Amino acid sequence: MAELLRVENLKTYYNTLRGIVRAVDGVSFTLRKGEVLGIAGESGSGKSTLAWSLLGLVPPPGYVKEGHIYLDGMDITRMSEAELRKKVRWKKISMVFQGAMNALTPVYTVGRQIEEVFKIHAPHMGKQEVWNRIYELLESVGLHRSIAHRYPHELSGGQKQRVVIAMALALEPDIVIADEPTTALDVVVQAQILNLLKRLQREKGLSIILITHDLGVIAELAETVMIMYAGKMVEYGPADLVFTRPKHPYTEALLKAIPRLRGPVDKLIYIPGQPPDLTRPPPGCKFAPRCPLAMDECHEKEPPLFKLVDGRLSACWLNRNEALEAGG
Amino acid sequence: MAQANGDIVLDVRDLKVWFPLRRSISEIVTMKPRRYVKAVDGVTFKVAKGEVFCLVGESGCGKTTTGKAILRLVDPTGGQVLFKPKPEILKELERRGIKPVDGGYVDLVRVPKGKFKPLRRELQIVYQDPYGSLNPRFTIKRILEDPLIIHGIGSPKEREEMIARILEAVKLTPASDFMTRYPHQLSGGQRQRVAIARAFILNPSLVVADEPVSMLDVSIRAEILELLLDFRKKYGTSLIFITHDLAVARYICDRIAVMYLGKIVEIGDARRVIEEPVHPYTKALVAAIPEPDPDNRLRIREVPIKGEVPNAASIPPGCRFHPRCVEYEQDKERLDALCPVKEPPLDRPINAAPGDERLVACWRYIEK
Amino acid sequence: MSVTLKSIVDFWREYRRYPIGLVGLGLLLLLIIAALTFPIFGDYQVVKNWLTNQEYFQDYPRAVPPCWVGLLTGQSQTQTIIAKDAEVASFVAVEGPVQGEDGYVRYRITATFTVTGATEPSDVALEAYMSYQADPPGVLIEEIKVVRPDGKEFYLVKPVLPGGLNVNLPLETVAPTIGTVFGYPNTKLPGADVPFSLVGLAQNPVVITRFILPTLTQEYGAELAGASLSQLLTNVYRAIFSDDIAAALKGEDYNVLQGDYQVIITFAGKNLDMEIEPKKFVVKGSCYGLLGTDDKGRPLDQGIYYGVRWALIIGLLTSVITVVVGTLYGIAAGYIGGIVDEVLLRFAQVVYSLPVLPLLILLAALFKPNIWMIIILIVAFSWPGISFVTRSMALQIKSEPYVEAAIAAGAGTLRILILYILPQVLPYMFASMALSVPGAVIAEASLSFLGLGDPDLVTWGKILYDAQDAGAALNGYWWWVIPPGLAIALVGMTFVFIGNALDTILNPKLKR
Repeated sequence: MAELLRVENLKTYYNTLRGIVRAVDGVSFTLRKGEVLGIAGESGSGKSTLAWSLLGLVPPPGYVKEGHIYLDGMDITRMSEAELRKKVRWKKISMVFQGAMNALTPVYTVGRQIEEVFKIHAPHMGKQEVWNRIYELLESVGLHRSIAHRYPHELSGGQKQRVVIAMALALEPDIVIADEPTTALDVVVQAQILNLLKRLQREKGLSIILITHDLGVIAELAETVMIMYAGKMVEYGPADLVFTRPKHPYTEALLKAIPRLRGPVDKLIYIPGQPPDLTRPPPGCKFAPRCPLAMDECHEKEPPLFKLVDGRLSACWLNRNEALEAGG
Repeated sequence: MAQANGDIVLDVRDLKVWFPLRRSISEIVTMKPRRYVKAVDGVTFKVAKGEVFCLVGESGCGKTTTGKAILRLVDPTGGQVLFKPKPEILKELERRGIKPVDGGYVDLVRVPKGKFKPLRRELQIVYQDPYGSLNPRFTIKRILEDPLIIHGIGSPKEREEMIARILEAVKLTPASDFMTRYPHQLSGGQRQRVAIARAFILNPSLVVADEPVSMLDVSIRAEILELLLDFRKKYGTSLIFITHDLAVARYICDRIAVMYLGKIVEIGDARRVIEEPVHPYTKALVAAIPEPDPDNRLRIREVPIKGEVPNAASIPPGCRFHPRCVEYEQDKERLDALCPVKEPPLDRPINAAPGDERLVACWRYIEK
Repeated sequence: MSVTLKSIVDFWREYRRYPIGLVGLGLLLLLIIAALTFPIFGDYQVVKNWLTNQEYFQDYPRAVPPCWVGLLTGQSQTQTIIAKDAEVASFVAVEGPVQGEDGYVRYRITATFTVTGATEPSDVALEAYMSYQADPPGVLIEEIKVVRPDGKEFYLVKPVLPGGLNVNLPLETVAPTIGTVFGYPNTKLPGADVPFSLVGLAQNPVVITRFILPTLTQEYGAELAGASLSQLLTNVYRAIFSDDIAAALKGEDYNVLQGDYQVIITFAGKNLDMEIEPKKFVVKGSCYGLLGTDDKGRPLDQGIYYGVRWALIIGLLTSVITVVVGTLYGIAAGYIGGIVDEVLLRFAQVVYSLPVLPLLILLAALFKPNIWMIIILIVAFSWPGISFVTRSMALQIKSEPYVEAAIAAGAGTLRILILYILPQVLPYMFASMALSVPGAVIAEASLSFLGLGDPDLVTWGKILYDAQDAGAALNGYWWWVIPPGLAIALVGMTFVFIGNALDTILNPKLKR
């Protein structure tokens, strides 16, 4: 399938009083049409910053230090704010922001707020046309069209999240980035929203970048999984492989730390220590200080992303022997 | 593992917490009865010594309110909370003129606020939010010392030793290093350990842990849970563990109660309830939880439940779950005289497996 | 170890980053210095007599502008001289006794001063302690004259015969006695403070008709033709300082003659034994001090200098009491909650909605206004605003999990309030204290301006009230109106600057 998005060696840094925070530090990946990429990582791993970079919306004092983001062959890191707004945001890539459902303006009806998206990004459309589209959108996310005339406080959490998704779909983008789309929701509603995303992805051939700390949510949706740790991509590959036979010790530990609903009740494992201070990262592998398998080498030399025989990428010295070549 | 029929520390009977709704002027003038949000509406359960008892449910089901009502952090509207304090606390209470119910129990609901203080040593809480639950202006030492000062325990030097010991117990070492720090200088996990240390420093008999790990990163959750279980083992403390995460509950709870709209719908052995749920609501909850299994991607997840949680101010008549229940829908002819009309009691399901102590509040399973 | 010290240092580091706050702090420092240094540089007597003893200010020129105005307009001014006791010696010289060949003993007082302005001094006055004894007919005034910069001598008293003939007769037949001119005993004065005023003399009808007119007719007879007696009577004083004496006498245009003047008084008598000790010498100039004087001659610079103290006392005291009362009330309402909260909140809302100034006026009129009463009244109407904010803060802090955790640990209400809620509210208290100072100062000034202030207190509002009463604005006495107004604004500005800086630091929502 066609390649939609290619990210090459993206580095997004924040200048803070305490030093430079390397929030995203050399991430490369591609996204095909209709592909769902799940990006997993703990708080502070840089996954949200990565998403903002893709939209050119890194909040100051952050900035894209280097790297390229090619969207349909255009490098959006070279684009001006006006170009981004005109050509990219919402038309090509849109985003469901974390907590966006609680950011709906309480004083306008839901329909008015969706209309606003059209006013900004598609001013040429007529009012009737816009409203027809709004009703259509609401129905496509499983809401009744009358919801357009309600205020956010009249809606439940799940309904609000559907509205936010409808807003993201307003201009039929190729890619939707969903940052923790279900975090604040109860499990039943979460399942419904995930089902909705699944359905939309299948029906519209949507590409989705799903960002969450919850590997369970990723497993529901993602075809490809990227595991991030301390601004780095540590493992990347097909979900089937990453979940069943993780190659990176971090991925493995993360999977073992998740309590399961079925199967034997083993002792849960945890990763001791805490993620590194990104202003002063450790010299070698960023995960080495917490890694149960760390060798001397790991503390000294940062492992490259090894491309493994089964096609996935893993940044761990232990994978050296299975590597085809040292990538990224 | 302690059994339900073991040494009961806490016996909650028909606990109710109703919050009155503000009445409008017109409602006052027309003398309309006051309406209530029935956050907890008749909850009954027992907790044994050293047991981990879980309250699970979605947000708004009343699980946190139940925990706080037991600790008298919110005032119960009705019911009894029988609690068995340590003998020395009981004596202190008797000195203050509080007569224990037979068997050394005290009804927490009936203890006047002014005489509650000795009981605070016995009843502690760990909050969900490690950022909000520690006073940002206090050092860690001050945070941990406060409960000791309040209860007049130890000299300053003894107190410092106690704080050092508890910090070591929660693995914040070297203790002297952490004592002088402020909460904002700690990570979320470290703060939560301070919160746990604060809860256990008075050696309470019962600790309510309100979603203690849900705001922490997955990789460190297990560590915090392990700490709680360690304390439980070491001191025989009973834990009421409040969570929305059934998977976590399965790992750490002895017994579990599933709550829906202020009532317990299913209660029993944690693993049995989660692995073989009986109540339609429990079934829906279990079905909704995503597991890290890549095969899930290929299918739409069926969650057997309809609609959304109604407002706790307007609880449906009869079984409060029936408007969302798919099993009622399937078996409507038989259940129509029951579910929408009569509230089901918590009872043993008719075809329960031998040794299964669970209780279910569903007409479909308890009515012959 | 000391958390407080560290937080104060941290706070200062933060505060330094706000220039506006530093300006405010600098101004506050100046105001405090002004308030504290009044006993050193200020004249307490002036303030003491301000409201009660108008005679005290008779030596001051009335309603004259500040002296620096001359510098700005380029118009020169005559400086006011108020010399007392030891200082007098540099202006006034006393000679005598001198035994004359004619058998008279003479004493002479010479007062020297400079006129630099375009207008003449409004008076030249001398006060001296005198005692004397002389043979009859007593002490004679041989002459009183003004020696002008152009060398002319203007006689106020000169031995002349009625009719204007100047004949060589014995002095006692041509010179007036001290009683005739000043009304003192002729032969013996055991000792008294004796005042002398140039205006007084120049307007004394006896002196004019008996001495001045004859002298003037002698000199300017022709030129004065056609001038009426009443004209001459009113214009003599001006003529003394005029470059064209005749024109001045007729009421025509003239210029003030600038330069050194001498006033010479010569006493004579047989066997005269006299003691003259000058006590005070005053030249009432056409300007006074830094801020001029009001219509009663009160030096406004002293009034405003002194007013700093009361502005600060009223401002700070009122704001501190207001904030403390408002905070305690708000915290109590917010923390206790329920019906108590409801009642307290409603009461505060009622007070908040009362029209403050009309009520203050009414109350100040009903009770005898006194400054403490006024402070209490201002507090009584300004606490609700504070209490609303602290109430909601208390409500919010109360719901913080760490407060509930403290309750769960067994902490009592008082402990929660003091250890948990108050420290959080404290920063807000400081900011609102600073921000409510201006309101208090203005409220007091408004009351004083309306004549309802403490009648025994010199405040800026009181000065403005007097100005209004005297029609200062209509008469163009701007120096009486603008400085107190500016002073009030300055105090307001100072605390608004400080308060805004505090607010920005302590209220993170305002931070950019």
